[in-house]
This record gives sequence, structure tokens and C-alpha cells, in this order.
Amino acid sequence: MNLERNTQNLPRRDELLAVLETLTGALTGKGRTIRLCVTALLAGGNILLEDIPGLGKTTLALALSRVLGLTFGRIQCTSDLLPADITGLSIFNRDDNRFTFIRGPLFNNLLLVDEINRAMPKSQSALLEAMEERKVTVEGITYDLPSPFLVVATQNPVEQVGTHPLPESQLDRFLICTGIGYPPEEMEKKIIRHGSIRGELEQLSPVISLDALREAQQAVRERVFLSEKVTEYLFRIVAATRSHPLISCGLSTRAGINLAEAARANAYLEGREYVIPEDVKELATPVGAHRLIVGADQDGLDKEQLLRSILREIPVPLV
Amino acid sequence: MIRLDLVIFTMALGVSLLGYLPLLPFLEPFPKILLPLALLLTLALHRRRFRIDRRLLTAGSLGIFLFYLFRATQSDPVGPVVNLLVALLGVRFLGEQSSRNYLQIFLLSLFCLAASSLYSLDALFMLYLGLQVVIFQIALVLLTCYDRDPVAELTRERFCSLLTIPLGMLLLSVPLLLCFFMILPRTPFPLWDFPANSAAKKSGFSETVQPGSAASVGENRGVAFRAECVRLPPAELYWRGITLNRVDGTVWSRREPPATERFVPGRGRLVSQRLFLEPGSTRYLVALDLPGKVFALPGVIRGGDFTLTRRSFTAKRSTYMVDSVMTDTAQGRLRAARGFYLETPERLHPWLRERGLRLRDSGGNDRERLAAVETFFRGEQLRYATTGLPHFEEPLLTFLTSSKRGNCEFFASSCALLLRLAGVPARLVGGYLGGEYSELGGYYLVTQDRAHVWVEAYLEGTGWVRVDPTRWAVNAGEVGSSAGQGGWSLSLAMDALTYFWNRQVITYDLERQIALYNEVGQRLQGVTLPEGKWVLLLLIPAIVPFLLRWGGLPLLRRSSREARLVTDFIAQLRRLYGIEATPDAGLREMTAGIESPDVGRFVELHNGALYRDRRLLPEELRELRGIISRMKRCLSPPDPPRRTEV
Repeated sequence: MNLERNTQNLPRRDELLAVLETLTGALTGKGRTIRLCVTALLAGGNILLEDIPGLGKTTLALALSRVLGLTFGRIQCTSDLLPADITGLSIFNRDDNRFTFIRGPLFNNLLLVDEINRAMPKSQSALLEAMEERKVTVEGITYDLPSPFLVVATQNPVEQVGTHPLPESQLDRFLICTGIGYPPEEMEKKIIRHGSIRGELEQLSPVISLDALREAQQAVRERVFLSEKVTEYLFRIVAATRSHPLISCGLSTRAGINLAEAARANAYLEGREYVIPEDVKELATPVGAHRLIVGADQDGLDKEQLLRSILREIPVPLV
Repeated sequence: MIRLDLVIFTMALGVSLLGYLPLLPFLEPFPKILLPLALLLTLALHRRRFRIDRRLLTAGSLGIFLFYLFRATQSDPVGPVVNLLVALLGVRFLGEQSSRNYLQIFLLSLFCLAASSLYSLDALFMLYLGLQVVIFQIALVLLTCYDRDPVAELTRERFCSLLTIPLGMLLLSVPLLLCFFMILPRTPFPLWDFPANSAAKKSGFSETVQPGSAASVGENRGVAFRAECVRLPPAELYWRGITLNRVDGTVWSRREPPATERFVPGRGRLVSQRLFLEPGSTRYLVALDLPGKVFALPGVIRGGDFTLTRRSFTAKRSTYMVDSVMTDTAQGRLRAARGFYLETPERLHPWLRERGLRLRDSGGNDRERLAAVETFFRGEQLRYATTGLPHFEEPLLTFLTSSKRGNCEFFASSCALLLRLAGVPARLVGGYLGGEYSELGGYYLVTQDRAHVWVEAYLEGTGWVRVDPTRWAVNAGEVGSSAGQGGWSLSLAMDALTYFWNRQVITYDLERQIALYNEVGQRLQGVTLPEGKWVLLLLIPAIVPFLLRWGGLPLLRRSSREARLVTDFIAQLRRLYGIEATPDAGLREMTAGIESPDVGRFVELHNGALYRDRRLLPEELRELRGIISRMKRCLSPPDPPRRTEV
């Protein structure tokens, strides 16, 4: 009874569930990453996939764009990538006798930025500024980016030669950072046997309209309630990272906001009108871990484990 | 982790032993053996979780009850009841370990201990009672948990916080306890078992002296009395009891002395004593030689021969005060009564009579004759002994001529007899010699084996003079060698405890209650508090709980309905699904993988209210309570708990 009422109050949830279902069916063994991507999309954030090449990052991004009916752009980052390669540039149009702006790959709903750490810092910040502002200013003219807008960036954590690792301040701009991981054994065997499914992705058709997606985003922002108790819990997590002896710089206020947004999106996906501590807890690691700056001598520390250990110390409000 | 059932079982064991031990000397063999057997059997069976059938136990209990019901008589209604209590306690242990059963065990144990006070008012009772009450209190709280969940395990912290509840209750009850102590009436002697026969049967002190009645004198370390006074030289510790003035054969006894006697104590310092006489069957009171005035005990007559006699006999533990003059001489003149103290038995061995005449001739006055008797005794090389005593006919003759061994009775009675035969008025004085001084309590502890008999000789011109012929023995140093000892031994410390118990608790009577009221009243009148401070004083008891609450004491922390519901729910989760609640997990996380509609509904309703910042609606509250009670009725999880990997 309660559950049904909730669903009515959360518009377009069924369609998003269908998205999740379709994607999970198409990309076996990537359920969690898919869900995180959708969460990031609903919360209006961007996602950073941190994993070695060849685990299906691009496939995932492609599948997402197809199922969501989004336009898809892709940037393969190299050290000679220029900001203009991302945003687009003006070209002289001989017919009209004037410069015409040719939109770069940025002007897509879904942008896959592959190996973002190979780009020069100059190009990186151009991209990240666009991600944050949702606007691009080229030659004095400001262009709005399409809505919804989702950047799926990838980076390879192993290869460090010739890379420009994203500074922590830039990492803070990604709502969610997660790995993909190898698929389970059986599934991997199946994938190996049947080969790449890129071709099959062409068969996928959109299950949700852009308007519906925008409506869902709005519902996440406006319809999902974040109580004082859960806010308190969330704040305690943020505060705990700031006073932890192993962490030199804890979570920022933006991280707190992002965590709340992500928790809201999670609650929406679960069909709840309110956030529960479990939402926060579930998303704390993907939202928070990559933003932690550990002490200089703690380089090898697994940030996810560190954050999980902090979560274990914080009591969940039960009354 | 602490297993609740083990804790409660241990407590039950302890409490029942505390009820059983004080009753041990008064029990019949059957319950005496039944309880330890039942305890051992339960200990052995505890691991195997094997229980004897309940119906069998009920039948057994009923049988025992009927058995003792018919044993109860008008003359002894208490004995069967006590035995029944212990037997039932034993049977209860064999039953299943439900909280109801445990409660019965605790109550029966308390009754057992209470019953023991009918027999004995030992200071240990306080210890037993204190321990039992503490355990009982803790156990009651633990039993409420046990009742909910018999297999519960508690963390150390949880257990400790649980303990604060009963301990806090105990703490709060102490002022009430003290208040009741002062107000409630009490009995100075056990209600049922009159102890009159326990101490006096083997008493060292008796109202007659008959040397030769036994071959040896048994040791009796029973307490005769305690005397609160300053510490005195051991040689002066003659505790005077009865004066024996009549000799018949070899038996010395007492009859009323001639009324004309008027003696006053000689010169000596005055020593005040407060005496605590153990209950006995004698009417005679003891006091340091020579006793003067007696206070604080009505109905005491001081005879002309300084014997303190109670008019009526009571089995009470008596307390009285005496001012004594430390002297061995009572000044005065005998005049006409002289003949009374010269009587000798008609039938007397010629040797004794002849020896008496020789002694009479050896001196011109009483003093010289007494000296001659001493010389004679010392010349005979007599030994003080408590074994191998002559107990044939003519024991005195044997003592003086052949065996030369005897205890104080031999020395004193032969001395007094020879003095009388020599024409010196003499009498025996029965009492005690020496005593152990307890530094802790500031009193002398005198045991029954310190009973002593000595002689008083009348010397014309001086009066009655104390003569202790036992000191003339060749081994006189051994006599009362421990006299005046004392200090700090463990047994003395234990005795001091008993003493304080008797003094402060047992003999605390109405008179002292009234005295206490008066004292408190006077003190309070003397105290002047500024206006308004009285209110403050009264507020303190009310404030304390609040302070405790601020201090974070969980027992006073009020919990809301919601909080209670959640606690109940978590307890049921643990019981049914074995889920351990951790503070970092929400209900949703805890119940993940449980496919019970009730559990899911509870979590949904609870979270829906809590995380939307509102309280539970009445109908939601009702539904949640319904879910909890349904869970409580569930004995085991409907299906084995399945936990999905998250």
C-alpha cells in the first residue's frame, strides 16, 4: 500500500527500472557499475571509471547512450589533445562568408572521455570546467550543453608513464568513481565464447525519452525527502573523514552535497520517497573514496577500505 | 560474550547455597543430602540439557510436602517446614530451566535463609542476607532478559550496563534499609531455638563445685561473655561469679549467706565495665572482682558476699554495666556469721581432719594459719592439670597425698576445706580468670574454658581476702598463662565482628531506639540552617536521580515507544534469525535477506516514519506491536535464515 503510493509519487521510476533491466541483460556481470552510472545520471553528476583497459568501459558507455536514447560523443585523450578538440571550433564558411561554430564531441548527452589522464592538464581543465558549468564559452559566445549531460571518463590506474594524473581538486568534480572489475568466471567464459557484443548493442533501442529522464531527475531532486536524522548521519561521516589520523584532507562540502544527491537517487531507484541511512552508506564509498587525500606517507592505502572502516565506526540512527 | 543462562544458573547455585548453609546444622538427613545431590546432578546434566520429566517432579514435590505436612506437630511446627523448604529447593533444581523455575529457586532460597534466623542469630546471617539480596536483585533483572530470550548472549559492555540497574536499585534502597533498621522491632534471641541449652551444658562455669566428678575437663572454647573495659594487668583479671559457701561431702554449693554480712571493698581503683553475657541458664552475673554497683539491668540483687543474682531467669543475651573496685580484699567483720563459714562435712577422712588440726596449731591467728596452708600446699609439690584427675572416693585425699594432680577445683576446694578445718572461715568463688583483649573492639573476650574457682579466706581484722591456691602449684606459670593475651589475631577480629553485630544489631532494642530518637532530635535542634536550606536538603534525594541521568546512567534514561519497539525487534531478530545488531547497521541492512513479510513491513513502517522526521502514527504503532508479538510467538524462524550477498 505504502509502496504503491511511493511509486506514484516518484514519476518515471518504472522506465528507469526498465533501463536498468535492459542494461543488466545486455551487459552481463556489470550490474553494480550500471546502477552507479544511472544513479550518477539521476543525480546530475559525472562518473569516473577507474580500471584497466578491456573490461568493457566503452561498451558500457555505448550501451547507456543507446538505451537512454542519448546522443553519444567520444573523446580519446592523448597528450596532444587540445581544448578545441573537445569543445569544437569555428571554421570559415565560404558560402556564408563568415565563421561557423562546429560543435565538438562535448555537445552530446553522453560523453565518453577515454583515458582522461593522458590529456594535458590544459585540456583536462577545459573539460572539467565544462562538466561543472554545463556551459562552454568559445570565442566569446556561450553555448549551453545539452541536458541531460553525463560524462563517463575512464582512466587506467596501472600505466603511469606519460600520464597527467588528475589532481585531487579535479577528482572532486566526479560524483562517482568506481572500478568495473573482471566479470564473474562463468560470465567471462561466456563473453569470451560469444565474442564482443558491440554489434548487439546496435540492436538496443531507447526505453526512455529525454523528457522522461529530465522528469526523473527533477523527481529525485524534489520528491525524495532527506530527513534531519539522515543528514546528521551523513554529516558525521563527512566530519569523521576530516578528523581521521590517516587522512590529511577529508571530504569537502561538495562531497557532502553529492553524497546526498546520490543517496536521493538511490532511494528513488528503490522506490522510496525518503532517504535511509543505508542509501548513504551504500554510496559513501563510490562517492567519497576518491576524494580523500591521505597523508604523504600513506600512499599505498586503499581509500575505499579506509572509508569503509570509518563507516563502521559511525552508528546508524535507529530511534 | 557472556551467556545469560550460565550466569543465571551460577547465581541460582550461589543463592541456594547461601540459603542452605546456615540451615545445615538444623536439617534432617534427607533434605541435608537431597540438595547437594540435586545440585551435583544438575551440574552434571546442565551440559547435556537433559531434564527430568516435569510431572515426575511435581509428584515428588507433592509427596515431600505431604510427608512433612504429617510430620508437623504442635511442639515442633518449624522443623518440618524448614526441611520441606530445603527439599523443595533441591527438587526445583532438577526441573527445567525456565525463568519461572529460577524465580522459585531464588524465592525458596530466600525463605530458607529467613528460616535459619529462627534458629540462630549469627553475625554471618547479615553476610548471607546481603549476598543473597544482591544476587537476587541482579538475577531478577537478568531473568527478565532470560524470559525473553533464554539463549541470549550479552557483550561485556551490555552486561555491565545491565548490572547498573539492580545495583542502582540497591543503592537507592540503602537509606530505606537503615530507616527500617531503626524503626522495626527486633528479637534479641532466635525465635525458635532457645540457645539456653547450647552454651551452658558444657559450661565451664557451674553453680556447684565437685572435684573428682570426672577424670578430665573438656575444653570448651564457647564464649562466656565479653567485657568492654580498659586493659588490665592479667593478674587482676578475676571475674567474679558465684560464691559457694556450703560444703557437703566433696560438693560445694551455695545457699543464702547470713544477712548480717556487711563488707565493703578495700582500696583499689574503680573500673567500669560493660558486660555482654551470652545466653545461658545461670542467674548469676559476672563482673570483675570486687563488683560494686550494677547499672542498666533491672532486677539484680547484690548479695552480702558480692554475688550478683538476677531475680528472674531469661534466655536473653544480657547487657549490663558494673563498677568494680580492683582489690582482693573486702573489708568488714563477720561477727556471728563466722560459724557459718566454718562448717565442715560430717563425714571426713581422718587424715584431712588431722591435717586441719595440725594447721590450726601452727599459728595463733588467721593470717598465720593461712600462711601455714600455703606452706603446706607448696611443700606437697602439687601440679595443675586438667587430665588424669583423681575421681575415686576421697578425691581430695588422693589429690593431696598420692596423685598430686588436679585442676582449680581440687586446689580451691581442698584449700578451703583445710582452712575451715584449721579454723579460718573460707568460701569458694566461682568465676573466670583472664581473657583475651580485643584491640579492635576494646573488650575482653572470655571463653568458657577460662572458668576458674578460687578461695576467699576471712582474716580477722582485715576481712575477706582473695586466695588463689592454684597459684601454689609447682607449674603455676601454666595456669592462665594466656591470661590477658590478645591483640590482633584473626579469630579475635572475627570475634570483634560478632561482638559488634550483637551489640549494634541483636541487642539493639526499643530503649536504644528511643535514645537514638532523642539524640537525633537534640542534635537537630542544635543545628541551625539558614532559611530555605531545609528545602535543599529535602531536594537532594530527588536531585540524585537526575544527576545520575546526566551522568549517562542507562537505568534512568527514558526510552521512547519507538526505541522500545526497535529494541524488541532487534531482540527478536537475534532470537529468530541469529542476527547480531551492530551500531553501524540500519534495520534495512540487518534484515537484508530475510524473506519474511512481517520483518519487511516493520522495517518499512519504522524507516518511513523515522527517516521522514515524524513519529509513528497510532495505527502504525499498533501494527508494529502486532508484528513484534507475532514474532515473539514464533518459536523458530519460519524457514532457515537466508542471507543474500549484498
